[in-house]
Amino acid sequence: MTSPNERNSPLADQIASTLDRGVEQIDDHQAARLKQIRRQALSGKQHHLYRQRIAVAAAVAALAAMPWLLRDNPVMDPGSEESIAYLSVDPEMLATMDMLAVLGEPLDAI
Amino acid sequence: MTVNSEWVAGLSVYCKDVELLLQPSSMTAQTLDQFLASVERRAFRMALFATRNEADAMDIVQDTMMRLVQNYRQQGETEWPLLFQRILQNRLLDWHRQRSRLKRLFWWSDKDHRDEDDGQDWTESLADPVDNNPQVLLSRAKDIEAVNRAVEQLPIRQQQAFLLRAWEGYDVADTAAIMQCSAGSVKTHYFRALNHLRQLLEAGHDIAE
Repeated sequence: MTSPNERNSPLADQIASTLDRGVEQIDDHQAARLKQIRRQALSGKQHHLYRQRIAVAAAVAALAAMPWLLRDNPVMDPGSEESIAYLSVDPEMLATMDMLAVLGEPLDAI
Repeated sequence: MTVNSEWVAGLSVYCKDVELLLQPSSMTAQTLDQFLASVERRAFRMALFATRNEADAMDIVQDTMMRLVQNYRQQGETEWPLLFQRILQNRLLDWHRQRSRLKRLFWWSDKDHRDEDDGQDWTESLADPVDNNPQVLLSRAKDIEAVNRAVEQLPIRQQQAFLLRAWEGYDVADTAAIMQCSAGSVKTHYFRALNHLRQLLEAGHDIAE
């Protein structure tokens, strides 16, 4: 009886033969990709798919963070009507609040 | 007049070294291209078994090719297969270790049973084989999908030992050199792998992850 540790056991041989047939089933896209990376390796160029993904993810994260970063930007034009910074320091509103405070009115009356 | 045999042997080795140095780089590149073309599909399949991810497998194969070309192109052609396999298996092991660290760091999950074989015999967790008929077992071993699924389920070290020994045809010593472990470890991993595959093919089910 063949020891299961022997490389040439019938089961191991059959599995190896099946694996050989499986390798032949690599599709055309995969074969083309393998040929491409082989050419790149021989020419010294390397192209990692995961690095491309990281670059795309970083770009998306930067775009998503842009509005938040711009909202807190103190350099925005105070003369702009859309400026949040302008609205937070509206002199007219402050004056109104001071007037209400003098009159004893609640400040949320605005 | 007698010729000193040792002198002749030394001269032939010297001539071979000189021949290698004088070989045009274009010839080396062509030979290297032929070698890489002969191993790329099997290397990709090995990487796919280990990672179960086509993109990661492609990256690993590319890394392996790059390292062989950059660091070992001047070595003899006969050394390329062993060097290529050692680089490939080291990359696959690194991939698995990194994945295990990330899983423990972010998911706090139990260790993946496909991680390094730490001495536990995972076949103990499998159900008893349904059918001990060797002919049935061999017929199931002809099914490409079933065999691929079974090999994917092996812990990484068992997978490496089995594929290098049974599929690539390396002996125990070369396999140990590739896997950078002892000959005894190779035999242990291989035995467990074969047993594991037998049970998986007989039962016809996958181990739960």
